[in-house]
Amino acid sequence: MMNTIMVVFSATSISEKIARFAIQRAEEEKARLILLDVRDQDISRKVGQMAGDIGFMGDKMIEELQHEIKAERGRLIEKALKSIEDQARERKIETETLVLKGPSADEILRIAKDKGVSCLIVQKRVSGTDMEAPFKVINLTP
Amino acid sequence: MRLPEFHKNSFILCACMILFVIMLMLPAPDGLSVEGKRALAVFVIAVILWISNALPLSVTGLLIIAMIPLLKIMSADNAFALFGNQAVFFIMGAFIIATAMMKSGLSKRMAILLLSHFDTSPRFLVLGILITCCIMSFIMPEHAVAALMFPVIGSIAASLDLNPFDSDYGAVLFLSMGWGAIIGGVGTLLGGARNPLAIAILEEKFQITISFFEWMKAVCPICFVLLAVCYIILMLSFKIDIKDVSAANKRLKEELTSIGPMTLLEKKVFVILLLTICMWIFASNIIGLAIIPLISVVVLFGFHCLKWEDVHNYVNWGIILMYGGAVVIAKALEQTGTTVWLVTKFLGIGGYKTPIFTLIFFAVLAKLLTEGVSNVACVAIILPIALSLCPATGIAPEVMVYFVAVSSGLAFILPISSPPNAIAYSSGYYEISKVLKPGILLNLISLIIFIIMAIIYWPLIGIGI
Repeated sequence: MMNTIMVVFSATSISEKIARFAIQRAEEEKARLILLDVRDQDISRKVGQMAGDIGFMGDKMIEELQHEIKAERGRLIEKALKSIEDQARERKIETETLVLKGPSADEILRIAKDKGVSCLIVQKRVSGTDMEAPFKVINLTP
Repeated sequence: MRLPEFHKNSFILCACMILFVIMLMLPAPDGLSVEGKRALAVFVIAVILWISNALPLSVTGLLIIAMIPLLKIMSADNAFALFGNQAVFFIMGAFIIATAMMKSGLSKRMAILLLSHFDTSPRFLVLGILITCCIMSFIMPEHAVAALMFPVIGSIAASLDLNPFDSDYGAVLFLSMGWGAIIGGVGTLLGGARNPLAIAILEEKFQITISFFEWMKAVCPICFVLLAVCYIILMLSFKIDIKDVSAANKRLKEELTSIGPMTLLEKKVFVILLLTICMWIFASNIIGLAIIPLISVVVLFGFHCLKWEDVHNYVNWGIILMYGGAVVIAKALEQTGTTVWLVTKFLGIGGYKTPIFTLIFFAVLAKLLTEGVSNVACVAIILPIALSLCPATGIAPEVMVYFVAVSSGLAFILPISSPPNAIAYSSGYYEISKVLKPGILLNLISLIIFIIMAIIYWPLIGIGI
């Protein structure tokens, strides 16, 4: 059975390093690649709260700002994912992109189980020095 | 382990309550009256809450106004009367005028028109964003400028087909938006509400004021020097990874076409805004700083430029509680002699050899604090104490106001330091680690430039340090 590698991209940013690593590993293992884009409302919510509490913006103004933030980030993330998909397809790697709303570890694991994922690549919260890999590889099957 | 925000805030509130009770139960320290000790207890709790944001800033303001009369530090009538300070009404009027600018579309038109003069090269476009955001922040609150410019910059970034993973130019575009707005925010009394708050604290303590024009004259030229430095730092710290911005030029033209010719509403708001600014510059000493925007607001409603619903949608009225609370605690500290006691006890008046050392000390303190605390809270915390040192050190209180208020406004590193930084960061084009070096550099150089300008330029316009 073909191995499946799932790379989980957080809402903060999509790292090119992780994408390159995942594509390389999928190519080496002749595995299928799943790109899981986890989108949460955290940043727009936090900025909105700050704009209200500290900037004293009104509700409608905050709503408009949050909408713009979500749209801008969404556009950037979609463009990045499209670029990863294109790179993977160029190397003849079977690729699927999934979008998950809200950060939930349980939900990520459920998707991994449903899709028969053998290897999970997740972004680290703090990457440390540049020498250190900014991601973690979790093997789900022995 | 990371505590959920709700639990963290509850923990801080409980700790504050315990600390408050302990401080009230302890005997008054030597040299401080019982009222002074109580005022200090309220101040300490307010500082913790302002720094931690365990309660919204405005609710902390309410807590202050409730505690001051309750603890018999000041009569209820006197405490509540301070909410009628002209700075509070000035801020209210300024926010409503900004609402009219945004609602009518005038602010967007002005921003795009200004920006469209700078869209010939990547570097020039960055300069254009810096200048546009700075100038817009001279006439409306800096966070509103960042919110207004965010979609404009986003659409420019989209048109340029930037690398979605790691585009330095994308980061530069959004940083120039945030930093331009921050620099402009210190230039006039309209850009940052901390500036009128600082004047209110000055008025309550020394019965002297700084007019709209005096502030502009003292700080605006510094803003332009800071803009130039900011531009150089951005150019040196980030790679300009695109060569052509003709797509941005096209997008800006499309934006201008889409908003169409200037409407009657925009024209009316523009004329009222222009007259208001002229009145502030030429007549605020005669008419009063707060009366001018209040009249303008009435005129805006009279000419059907605004509905009350618009004001409600664009302004958070908690601002009045925050500013009122800050003025009340500053007055309470001053009236009870707590500020003098604090500086004598902890800073030692005699220890300061020169006024310039004292000024630099408070400017650095404000700079450090403002990176982690809202800049309004920073002024509310530092200024009452800093002003108490003025008589002993011979520093003109107005100069101390400039040093603390301007330094509090110039926070360039962390998203939590000010809404323009948070809005720029939310674009997703950069991580905090990427702005640490240029942010620290800009913080440091802006402080040095501000001090040098104050020493060289201010005496030329009659402000002596």
